[in-house]
Amino acid sequence: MSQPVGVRYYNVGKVYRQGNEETTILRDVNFEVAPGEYLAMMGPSGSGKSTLLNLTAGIDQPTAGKVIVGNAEPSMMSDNELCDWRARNVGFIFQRYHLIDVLRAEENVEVPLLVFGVNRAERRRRARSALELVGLADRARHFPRQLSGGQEQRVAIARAIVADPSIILADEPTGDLDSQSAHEVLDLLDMLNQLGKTLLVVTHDPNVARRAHRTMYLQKGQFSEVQV
Amino acid sequence: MFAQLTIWSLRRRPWRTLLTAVSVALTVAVLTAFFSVRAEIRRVLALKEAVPYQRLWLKPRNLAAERTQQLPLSLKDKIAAVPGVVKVAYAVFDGTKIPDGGRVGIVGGDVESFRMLSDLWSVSKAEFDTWLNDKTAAFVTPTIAKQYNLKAGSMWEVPYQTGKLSLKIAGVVRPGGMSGPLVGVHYEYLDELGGRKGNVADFYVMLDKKTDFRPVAKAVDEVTASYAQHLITEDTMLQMRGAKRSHVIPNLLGALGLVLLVTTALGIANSTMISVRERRAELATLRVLGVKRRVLALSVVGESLLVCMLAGLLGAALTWWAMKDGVSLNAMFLDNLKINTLGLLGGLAASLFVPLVGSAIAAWLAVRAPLHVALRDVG
Repeated sequence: MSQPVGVRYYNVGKVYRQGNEETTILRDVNFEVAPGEYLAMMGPSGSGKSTLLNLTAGIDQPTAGKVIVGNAEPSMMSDNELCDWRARNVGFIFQRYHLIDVLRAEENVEVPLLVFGVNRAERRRRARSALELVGLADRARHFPRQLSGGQEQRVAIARAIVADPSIILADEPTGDLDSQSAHEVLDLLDMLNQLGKTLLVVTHDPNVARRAHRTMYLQKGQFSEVQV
Repeated sequence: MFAQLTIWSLRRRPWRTLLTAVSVALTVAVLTAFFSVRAEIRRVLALKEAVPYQRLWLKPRNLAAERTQQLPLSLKDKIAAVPGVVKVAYAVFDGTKIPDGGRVGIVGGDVESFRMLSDLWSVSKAEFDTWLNDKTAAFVTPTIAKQYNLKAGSMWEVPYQTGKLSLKIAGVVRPGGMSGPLVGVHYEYLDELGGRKGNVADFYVMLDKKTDFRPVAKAVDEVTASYAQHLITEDTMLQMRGAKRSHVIPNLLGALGLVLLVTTALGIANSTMISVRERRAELATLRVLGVKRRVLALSVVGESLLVCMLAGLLGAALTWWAMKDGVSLNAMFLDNLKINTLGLLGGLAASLFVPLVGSAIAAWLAVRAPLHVALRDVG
């Protein structure tokens, strides 16, 4: 089991440029997430929540400041180093699941293990136990189109945890789900946090915020802590 | 990982994959045939160029009248005496009907004429020696060998005029000198059966390669002036022109192959680009999960490469199957054509070239999109 890591944001800024036009998304963001913490990030659409999550995972680069995850600074890594680092340390859950439609549920879950050259039998074993953890062992041979939205998101969660990352980043994981499915997914996130994973969840859903240890609210590119 | 991703990707759109495979198989089949025919033409031309003399051919003005327009054998010594002439050979052409209804052309030549032709026939020294030492020995073309199941050492009886030729097969010649349904026998054997009466149809006048053939040809023409129905040609050039004319067929195959090659490559480029565009979010997801750009690009190219290589093998196998019994495109030069190593390599090279060129740009596009932008695409 991997050790949970914390995240520190130092004066993080992000500006998008299109031609001569500049749009400031994040401005002087400073806060810390403790190892094993469950943090919810809320705010209006376009406020920069997902951007901050992308900066945390090294999917995008800050234009100012730095993001430190554990001891690593993703923005200083090469593309190949980032791939290796993400594969070992970060589990990512997307709002639209982003499962690969031609792969069965268990094959989707196996993908992160391919990166490490895990053999087929071991991949299959670990994928099955991840699916079991999310309650979908009986759907292992199903293709994504044969699953409900909630089940797809649970497969995506199994994929995010199969390589035992130290931090899980979730971008509106319940955004496309009905309340029952959202409830199941949130239960799973709770369980992951109880297993020691650091959890950063971007959401509009106050239920998520209620379950998190702490909620940060983002407005006009800056965060403030709120009580939910 | 790359292999696994490639195999998984092949599940996508099987019909598109199948159509691509058919197109590649067709291209490879045509190109394999093109390269095989072209290699055979080169072989024949090289054989003709390697013959150590130039040859003048004293032949009937009307080739169709070869059996009736005869020259006396006694002319041989007169022609041999012309300055510049190295050797003189002679031959007759005749034909006969086989009991099964087929027709066979008979070439009756002297030792010199057969020695001259053996350079072009690609027969072995042992085979030629067998022919040389046995008056009843004969060479047959692949067409005849196949039709009557003959090989070196076979015995074969052929009706001829009032009797029959009892032939012992010395060997099967390769195309380039004697093609079509022909059998080559000793002139003496034909003459013995009473068919020639000391006359021949053609004289072959051999000169040193460096000799200017024109004054020699003029002198030979003067010696044979009383035989107006015959003319003399520079046969080496004639043969070369004939062989070069045979390029028409492979050139057509080559042009067709090139068009197929380009259109298939463009087709693959187009379909791979569409596929990569449709899979932008999926490819970005794989990168988020830790798959490197290089591996993703290789899997995009590898998908096309795998399909094209399998289809290429199928195309080459089809060509081999179509040509396994020999194909005749030109009785004189391109008889009994079979797939050869060069053709096979050329065809298979095309099956590598097409996917590499076709999918390279798509592979590059697949990995250069910024992750945070590509992830917003929702299929």
